[in-house]
Amino acid sequence: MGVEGAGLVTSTRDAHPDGATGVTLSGPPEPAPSPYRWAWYLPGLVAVGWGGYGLLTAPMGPEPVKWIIFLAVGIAAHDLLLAPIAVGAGLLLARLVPAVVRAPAQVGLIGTGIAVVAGFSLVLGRGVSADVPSALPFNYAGRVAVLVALLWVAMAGWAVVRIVRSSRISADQPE
Amino acid sequence: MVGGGALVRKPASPVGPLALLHRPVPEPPSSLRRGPLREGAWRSPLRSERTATLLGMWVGVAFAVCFATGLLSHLIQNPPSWFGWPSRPVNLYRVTQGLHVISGFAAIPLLLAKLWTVYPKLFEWPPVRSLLHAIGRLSLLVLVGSAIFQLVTGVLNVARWYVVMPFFFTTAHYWTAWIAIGAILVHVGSKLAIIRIGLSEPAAAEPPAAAVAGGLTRRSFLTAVAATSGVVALTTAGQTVPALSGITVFGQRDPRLGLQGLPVNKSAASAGVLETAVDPTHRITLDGPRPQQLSLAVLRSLPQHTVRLPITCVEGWSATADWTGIRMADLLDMMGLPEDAEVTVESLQESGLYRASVLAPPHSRDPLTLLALRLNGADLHIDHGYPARLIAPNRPGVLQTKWVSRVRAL
Repeated sequence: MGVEGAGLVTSTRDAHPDGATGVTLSGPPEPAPSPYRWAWYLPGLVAVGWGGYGLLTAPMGPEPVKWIIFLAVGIAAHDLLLAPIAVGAGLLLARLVPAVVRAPAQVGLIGTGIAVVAGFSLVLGRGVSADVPSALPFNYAGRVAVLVALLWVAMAGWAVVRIVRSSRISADQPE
Repeated sequence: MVGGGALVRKPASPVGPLALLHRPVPEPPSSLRRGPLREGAWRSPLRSERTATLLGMWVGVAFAVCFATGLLSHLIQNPPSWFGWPSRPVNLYRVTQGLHVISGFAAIPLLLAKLWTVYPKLFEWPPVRSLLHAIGRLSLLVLVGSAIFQLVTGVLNVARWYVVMPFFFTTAHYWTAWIAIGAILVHVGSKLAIIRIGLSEPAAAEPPAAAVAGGLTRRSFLTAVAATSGVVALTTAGQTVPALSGITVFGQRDPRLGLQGLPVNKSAASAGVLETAVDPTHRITLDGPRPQQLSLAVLRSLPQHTVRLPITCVEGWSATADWTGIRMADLLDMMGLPEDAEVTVESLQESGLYRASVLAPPHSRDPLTLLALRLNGADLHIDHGYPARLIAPNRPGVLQTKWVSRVRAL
């Protein structure tokens, strides 16, 4: 397949039947669907149908409208909030952070973002109950903060290594 | 095709009703193609078929593990006639349910990275090429929505934050799991050709260094995502693996913390048994061919056995303890029940989904299954089920009925 910017395309592909193809992430047109796709579609559609049937008929199942709203809020939260923040952070990082430390900064941001997403509900502690003190017993904010701090310490170390290596390479360059 | 040189085979056009699905729809005015819709608006060299394919495979594995272990837990709690669940090894459910929660948390970075990688596809132009294309795009709402739904509700359950879920968590999470796993299968089927491309791309096929400009390469991006997933897994596993409890960040429990050295999931106060459980006139009813009522003093006078068993919550945490009490097999014999008899163990708790549980072979006759009176060398604390509770090997905690009031033959 073609690597973006490299122009190396060697494969043979089937075009879409209607000729109206989209493009892949790296640019080339999407290939035609695989002839084996129905081997995946059939069990997949059966599972989706079974899940939908269960949601609609199970005792104590969710009200469909509430289920759909929850689903839609999840999609919106990702597509309209999390993803734009991630993309924006990446753009800012590319503009503001020197190239030599950009990779450690990227990993630091990825890890920090994941820690926030995975830990926010525990940090908020809305499920804590005096009735059951052994549930949610930790200082989650502190633990997430320590985890993120350790990550940035590691990334700072990596950045230092990259700076030192970069300066050595520069020093070795002929005048 | 970028770079040229590719051979494109054009298959025969569909006919009949299928032609309607494939018929191109008019493209919107190009003046609308602005912002993220612009050609070349998305330039990160990290996005590629290989990146998307590998991340997709990892997400698929994590969701498959979650689905299989979740389905197993559901079957154990709601066993159909064809399903049997052994009482040994005693830690098997502990492993499967621990894995369920760990893999769920580990899937968070994988899913987010996968969605970031394919995010530009949300802005593809034209937005709709044909009716079939529109259906395909809409189906992605089911895929993405159900995947996010599962992870969000799972995390909220671990955080015991139920009020934000406008439905009963267990039912919604279980049935949506079928939709999520089915949507993943459909998605894999629709992307088989692209997956083949992603997997056939040489691992060394990285974008030029100038494109990366000091940032992560595709390989280091994937490594970072995998490492993040691994760290999340490790810092979740402490609620299942005591050796890791010191580094717990995303777990709900420390297995070492709680009354009598054991966590509690439901308190006597919330079960409404604070008075009935300590009532000195309380008797446990054995309701079978030889019915009888046993006081706590009589229960204590029966042969006592001590077993070391874990209590495993469906929320993934588990902890081992020493339990002392009467073998359930002895009680069933006292009731005059045959070896294959099933019984219902009922609680003083007057309402609630888990106020009773069915105890069937092999658990009912397993010598490790007790009507426990003591925990870690002391009488059961009321929050652990005083005066008597069920403890059986390899069984979800919600089926280990507390504050037992009656054992009834089915």
